[in-house]
Amino acid sequence: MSQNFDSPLLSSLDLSLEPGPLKPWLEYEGDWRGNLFDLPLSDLKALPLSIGRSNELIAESIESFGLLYPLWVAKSHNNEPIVISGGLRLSALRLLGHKTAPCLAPPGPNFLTTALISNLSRGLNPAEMAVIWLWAKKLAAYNCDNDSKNNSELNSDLNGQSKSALNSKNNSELNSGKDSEKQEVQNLLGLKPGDRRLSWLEAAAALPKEALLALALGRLDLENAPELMALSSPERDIALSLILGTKASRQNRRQWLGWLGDLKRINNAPLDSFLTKNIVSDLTSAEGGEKKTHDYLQKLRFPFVSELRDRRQKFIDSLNLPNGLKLTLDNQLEDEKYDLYISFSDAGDLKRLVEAALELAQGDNLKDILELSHPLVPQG
Amino acid sequence: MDLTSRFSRLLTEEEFIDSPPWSKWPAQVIAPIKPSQYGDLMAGDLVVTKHQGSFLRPCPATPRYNCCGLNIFHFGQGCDLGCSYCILSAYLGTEAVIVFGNISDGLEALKTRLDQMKLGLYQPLSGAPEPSYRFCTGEFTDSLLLDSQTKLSEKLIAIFRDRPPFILELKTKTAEVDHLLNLDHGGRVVISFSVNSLFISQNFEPKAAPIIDRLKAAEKASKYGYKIGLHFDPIVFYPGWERGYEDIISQMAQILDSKAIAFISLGCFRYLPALKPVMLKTRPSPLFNAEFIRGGDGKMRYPRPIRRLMYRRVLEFLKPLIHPTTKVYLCMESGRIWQEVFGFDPGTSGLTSMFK
Repeated sequence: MSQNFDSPLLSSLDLSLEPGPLKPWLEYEGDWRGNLFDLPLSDLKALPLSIGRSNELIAESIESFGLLYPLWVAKSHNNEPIVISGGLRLSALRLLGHKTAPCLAPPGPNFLTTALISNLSRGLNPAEMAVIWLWAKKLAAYNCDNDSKNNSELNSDLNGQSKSALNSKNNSELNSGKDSEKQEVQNLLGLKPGDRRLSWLEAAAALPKEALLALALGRLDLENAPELMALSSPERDIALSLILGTKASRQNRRQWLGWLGDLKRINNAPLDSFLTKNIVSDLTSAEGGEKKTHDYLQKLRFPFVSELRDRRQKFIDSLNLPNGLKLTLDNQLEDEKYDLYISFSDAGDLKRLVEAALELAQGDNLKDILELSHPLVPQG
Repeated sequence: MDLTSRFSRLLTEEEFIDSPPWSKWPAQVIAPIKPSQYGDLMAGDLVVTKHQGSFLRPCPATPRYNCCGLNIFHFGQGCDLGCSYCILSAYLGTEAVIVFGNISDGLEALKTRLDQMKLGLYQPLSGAPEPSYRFCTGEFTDSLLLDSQTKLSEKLIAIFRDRPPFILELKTKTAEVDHLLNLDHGGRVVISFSVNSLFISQNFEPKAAPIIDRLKAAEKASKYGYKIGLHFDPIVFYPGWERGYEDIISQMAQILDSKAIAFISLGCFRYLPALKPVMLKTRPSPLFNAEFIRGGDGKMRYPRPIRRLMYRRVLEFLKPLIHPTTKVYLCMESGRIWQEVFGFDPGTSGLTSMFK
């Protein structure tokens, strides 16, 4: 059997990132609420969650419209910037020769869950599931190791007590919930405790990248994946059954396909609930939290519309309309009508405001508002 | 087409069990059912029932958006083509296909309506727009889904052939036109095809005829004198959409003669928000992963600048397909978008009069 893999897919598949804990982008703590910052592409690595996916279509889109959704970044334990959502966009930007990318830094600690959820709506292939499960497992294991290490440091290094205590506090915050995150990932993948697919995923995650790609694409080149053949049964058989769909393993294949189907069905909705649970609660406790939450979610989910609304509002503000005169636009951008409110206390006031309103009608300002559009959408 | 291979159950009310064409297949007799019971039907069911309501309906136009005043001949509802963006099954509460067994009553009502309209005796209900001369069968189902068996279009064509200026539109995502080719249609029939980019068609119209087959069917029908309609609906905003629509339109231009194209409609993807969860449950798809605003009619739509861009671009691509006699219009769009795309706003009455 001979199979030529699509070489760009293989060459763009970077599995060099070692699973490890992820930290929030602390330097940007003040900026993360919807604000963007640029990072050089050469510094970025992405969670390997885009296996076997071509970046050409998204590159075309970026070329036409620019990058509509910023990359979401966190830090590795070595302080390297890690793209937790937007691996394919990153690869497309590189393909197009960009040097930097606009990024957003969501708060932690559940970055894996964030990464997983942001990719669920497009669906995950088995290879991607295997990789994220491997990360979840390693993170949970790291949490245990690190906690015991910190405890021992704290006990033995009395002179450095305050530093160790601080580290311990930071690490404890950093790692809090890693076990629960593993559980969250497990739930999102639709896996129950003791599920036989867990062992399959673990076996799959250990495959070389050619085999992972085969798994992602649903095809296999046995010559390129000897490691797969060296696996012990039944993991090997299950992996083979998925890739090749052999008659003998039809039952396994059916289970997998059913699982994938279930995942697609259940995972179209959770982004809202996830954001509500993990981000909104954090924001709403801050001053002016509800408004900030609303704005933040708006910008995350509706970058185009939010940007357009903001720009239009800024434009209206720049008109410096007198007090008592208020112009409002259609918030849904359909722009079928605009409302102009006049609040006055006496006849002189009314006259002055009506004159200002007439001035507004006679100038080009209204036309400017109508034509104001988003810079990312080319005007045909 | 053997219905038993296409449908898992044929359910027929007793009075239609011996009626052609249903008598050709083994059917399970059911008690008369009401529309409120349609939700109990299952995907794979084909149901022949007695329709109690009107067979003629105006297009379910949407407030504050221009409507073309289409008249609908309502012969059944539901569709088994499984398109991800289609609201039919969510709206009807079932994926079953329902056909009205008492269609002869409907045909009589249609003849009466056409004759009334011709004589100027028909008055639409108060507040309803003046109807156009265009009648379509494919609003609540696909016009040609079962037509090669039911031969309904044959009867409809015979009615419209002798009744100018009215026009019959058969709207489909199938390529099933062979049974219509040799009929005498008197030039009063438009066979229109719902079309889309190859990407959307391949990924979100799983059981519809491949887009190329639809185009070939259109070309074949045009050779037999039928006028052709093309409905680009829904136009979807996805990465690479521009290339996708340009490519398929360029293929259309190679296959179709623009003289045969009676009308082309454009409509961007839109949906009723309440139906989104229902649609996602039955057919998960990434089509909803985009930015939408709530339009004046309560439906979710792409923001106006995006719709404007898409219409303008698709229209540019369409130039080689637009003959001076081809009517091009936007389906359920605002006056503002009309202004921005075409430079004028016909309003619902102006748009309806395009089809008179």
